[in-house]
Amino acid sequence: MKELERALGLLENHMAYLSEPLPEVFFSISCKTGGMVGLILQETAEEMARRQQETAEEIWERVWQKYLPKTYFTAVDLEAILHFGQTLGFLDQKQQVGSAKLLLGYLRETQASLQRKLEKNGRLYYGMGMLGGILLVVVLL
Amino acid sequence: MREEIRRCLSDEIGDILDKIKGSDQIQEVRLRNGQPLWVRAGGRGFFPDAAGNAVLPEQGKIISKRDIKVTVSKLSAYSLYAFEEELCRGFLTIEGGHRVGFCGKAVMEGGRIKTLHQISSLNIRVARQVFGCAEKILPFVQEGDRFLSSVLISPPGCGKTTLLREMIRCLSRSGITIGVADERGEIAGMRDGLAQMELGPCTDIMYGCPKAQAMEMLLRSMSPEIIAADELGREEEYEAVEAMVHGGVEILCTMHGSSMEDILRRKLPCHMARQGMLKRYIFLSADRGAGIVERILDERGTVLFQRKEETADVAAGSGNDFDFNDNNAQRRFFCPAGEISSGGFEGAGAGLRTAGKSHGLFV
Repeated sequence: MKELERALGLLENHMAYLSEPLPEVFFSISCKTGGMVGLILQETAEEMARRQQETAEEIWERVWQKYLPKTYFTAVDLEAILHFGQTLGFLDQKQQVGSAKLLLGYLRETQASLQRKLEKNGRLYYGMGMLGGILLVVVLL
Repeated sequence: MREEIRRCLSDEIGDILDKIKGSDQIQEVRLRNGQPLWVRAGGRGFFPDAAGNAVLPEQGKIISKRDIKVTVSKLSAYSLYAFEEELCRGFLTIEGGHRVGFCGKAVMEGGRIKTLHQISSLNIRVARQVFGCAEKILPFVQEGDRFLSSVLISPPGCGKTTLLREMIRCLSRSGITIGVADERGEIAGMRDGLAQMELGPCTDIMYGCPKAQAMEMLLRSMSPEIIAADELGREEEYEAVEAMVHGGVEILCTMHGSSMEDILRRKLPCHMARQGMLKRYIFLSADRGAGIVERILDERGTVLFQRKEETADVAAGSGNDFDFNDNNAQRRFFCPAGEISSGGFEGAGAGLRTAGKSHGLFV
């Protein structure tokens, strides 16, 4: 998720300030991002460069569906990612950047929520561990 | 079908266009959402079916929203956001210099079109460059080594821009520095900073900005010997031309019009004519197909060349606009005979003034 967040941040800047074609942008970002997201973006860039009969949305969906089992994204995450794909390449600059911001917002919100859960559960598991340890000592005594 | 255009279309539409008889003569392809595919080839417009045959609209290939989306995606490399300026102007130049016009829902901002959404129609105009079509006209626009300011005049669709392009290329190849004010990208077909049309090694191109401003910038920054522009129309453009002429630069331009009388009825072209800013007036027509030079006048209205009626018959029915491999087409673009000596056009400029008769319009 952090990889995708980083990639989207770069995408937003490329679109807003450089106005480069999408295949080039994806390829450039894939090199900087790395990991599974980098691989997905690279394959998307290659498919777009071939300019076959699919729209950007179709290419985006096909590549994400292919790599989803290898990632930790949930079905809800995928829905948000595919929704972003529906807007790819067919909007003006302001809307395209806005669409990227929307997905970025979702990712940040999800990450914040996961972080809160991690902290809460972390304290819980720490407490349980402590109690378990004390119980063991009492039993041994 | 030109490869650059074929790559931008869906396979289905590309296959239909390939099956059209004379598909290398396709001039225009129109895609309209929910309407049949329309093609113009060899000067004739029609609706092709899946086999490329001309049929009734109801039997033609109906363009779907997806066809438009796929085409737009491929034209823009999936990056319509990167072509906002082009969308504002309503067209995009693709590789090869071909122009694609867009139609859709305009998004307004401050009273101006900001961009287009929901694109519903596309018009792909195939760019063609006809090498050699200016060869026999050039002696008429030169006095020794010196180029004479000239204007190409005709109604739309007669080949002005094609002839202008070739004249620029030939003059540039002879070492003359030419600045081209290419407001709409029709002359050079610029894409990613590279001219898709050949304009010669000594040509500098300013594109995407109003012609008047482009001419001033070219004069200031590139020191051209000739400035070329297509379709003078606005007042500031004529003023810019006047400034160029006073600055010692020759002009090569085009104008809409059908005759000298038509030109002289308009205030600004009339002023230019009466000031003697332009030395040569080249009239084209499409009576017998595009690319026919009707007459050439000098600044006094003397007829330097007048097309003879019977040579026009040679051109009729040939079906091709600019086929310079075909001798008949050569004569069509620049017909010999008429009131000029029948010995061809060697030294045409020198002997003609005495032989021709005055047009009488400048008196």
